[in-house]
Amino acid sequence: MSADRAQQSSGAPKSDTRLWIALLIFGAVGIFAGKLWRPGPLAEAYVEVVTETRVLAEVVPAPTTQGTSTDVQSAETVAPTSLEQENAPTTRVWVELDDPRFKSGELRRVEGVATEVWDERAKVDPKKAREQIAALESDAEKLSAPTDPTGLTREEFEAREAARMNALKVVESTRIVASPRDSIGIWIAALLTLGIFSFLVRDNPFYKVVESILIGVSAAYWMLVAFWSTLVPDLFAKLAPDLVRATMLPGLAPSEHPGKDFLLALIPLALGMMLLWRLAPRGAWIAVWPLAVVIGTFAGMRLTASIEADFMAQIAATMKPLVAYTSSSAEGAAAGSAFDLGGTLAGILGVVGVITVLVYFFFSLEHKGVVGKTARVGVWFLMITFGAAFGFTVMGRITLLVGRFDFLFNDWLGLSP
Amino acid sequence: MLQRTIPLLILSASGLILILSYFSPITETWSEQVVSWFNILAGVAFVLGAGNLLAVNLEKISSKRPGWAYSAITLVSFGAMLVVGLSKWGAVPDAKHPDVHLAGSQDSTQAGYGWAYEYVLSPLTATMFALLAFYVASAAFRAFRAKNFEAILLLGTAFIILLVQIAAGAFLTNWIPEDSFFAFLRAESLKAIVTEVFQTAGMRAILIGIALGTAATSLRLILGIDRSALSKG
Repeated sequence: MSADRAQQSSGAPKSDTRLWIALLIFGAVGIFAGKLWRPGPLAEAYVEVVTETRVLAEVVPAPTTQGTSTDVQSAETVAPTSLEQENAPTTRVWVELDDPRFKSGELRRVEGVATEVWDERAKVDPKKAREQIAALESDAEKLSAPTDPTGLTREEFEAREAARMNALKVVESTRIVASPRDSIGIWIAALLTLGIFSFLVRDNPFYKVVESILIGVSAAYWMLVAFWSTLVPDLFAKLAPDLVRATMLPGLAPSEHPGKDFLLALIPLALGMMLLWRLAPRGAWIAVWPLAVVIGTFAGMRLTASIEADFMAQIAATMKPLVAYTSSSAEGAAAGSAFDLGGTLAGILGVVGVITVLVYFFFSLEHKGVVGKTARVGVWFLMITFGAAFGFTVMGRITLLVGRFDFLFNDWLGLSP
Repeated sequence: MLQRTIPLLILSASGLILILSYFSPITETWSEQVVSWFNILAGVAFVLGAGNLLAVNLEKISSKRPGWAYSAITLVSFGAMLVVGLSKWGAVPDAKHPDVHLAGSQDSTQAGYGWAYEYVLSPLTATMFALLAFYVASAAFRAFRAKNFEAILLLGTAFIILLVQIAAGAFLTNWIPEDSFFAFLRAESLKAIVTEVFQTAGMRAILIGIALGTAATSLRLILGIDRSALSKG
């Protein structure tokens, strides 16, 4: 009793301790099982690293025709640098270092511009990565031995040596390496997953911390999606196209009417600022104007869309022949196709279902007599519809749950053989 | 005037332009413009939401209300994700414009934003939804009682759908010959009958009802009959 009181006064409920112990046991057992099953690091992650190199080149103007490759189409055009080229603006493109157009003379490298080099990392399944690493090591060992010249002519020897060196170059350039960054990510994801699951025991500080992270990250995520996918291309690109092209969207096509675009973009800019005014302590009514645009546009869009896609389309889909044949065409039916009992029943039930459910939703008439009985049949159809929807919802959630357990047991603990 | 009449006129005009553009190609460019503004305002609404989140949590922290530390965690995670995403930290350069840093892609885990999505946001949302499996099952166990015919229909359909989706469904019904009269009792046929006949019919009627409701509400808004949406300034 006194211990309970002492625990209550310290602000730590007893069941919290049980929760932490349960989680620790779960983690410890999982880690132990993982080690027993397959020795190796937890949260194993590998990436294939590909080094990309780009150099700035300018297109050498052809004497008669202009270059038409895809890279050239997306290239930037800069002002001419010499008097001879005054009437022929230079097109510059970023290309690979060993681009064949350098040899053919279509391109020449721009001097004084640094080469851009970066690594691109693609995640590789740990099991496949281990196999590939072993295979690469074996290949490298085999290829490192020089070709035995016995019984070979000089040409044959040189050809084989060249092939060996090329193969060795490919093997050495393929880099599959462990990725600590992804391993840390898997650890964090596992802890966050356990944090959410801890709510099954009861509400607790671990869950609340994880929940707070989810709120913060998802709010920022949706804001960033809106910023990069809508605000930058639809608003900023029209207000300051040159700045946006130079800093964010280098592939932004020049507008045919920049002045008109700028003026028209001022309207959503003003409306957007009015919407943000809602955060101000006074004058919140100012935000009603942009809200009116949002509500009006959405109402207009939904009015036509719902009538066309839901109302008309659903009625058209219901208007099918009630008597079905094994051949769906009229010619097939005339030629003596067999009567399809299942299809006919399905067609009749479909029409009956739609009509009876609509009668149930028609509240202007009292549900008595024939109307009441019809509405009752409609309720049966609705119950089956809701039952099926419930079943699919549960299955969907269970699929997600299986996915999370798969992550915990395989990606994190590495229990898969 | 400024608070009631002009917003109503704006609402009606934007709605009517959208409706007119469906019938007349002349107003198509107008509707495209209005939809573009709508998209921009929807984007700004996310900024507004973020601003509101900041205001609410900062107020909670400054007044040291209970749970203020969680608000601080929310703000830190919000700020970290925002900085990483806006600066495109670790983004893979665009092969055609590697010199423009902000043109890079941040979809892969190589970029901070992609990493946060893959290892923070995605597992959290997936687990949050997965958690509902327990609560749906628990609620169903407590609430579902086969008390009348309607309840039996709902319960029976849910049971059939759950059974036929798993291997047990096929295991229990595979002995029924495919060409026999009772072939409709096989798991795959039962699922098809429930979804393609009964559920389709029910959903069609529901969709027709929703469409009529949506159209009526939209018209009431556009014609200014329903002004409740703009009543709170």
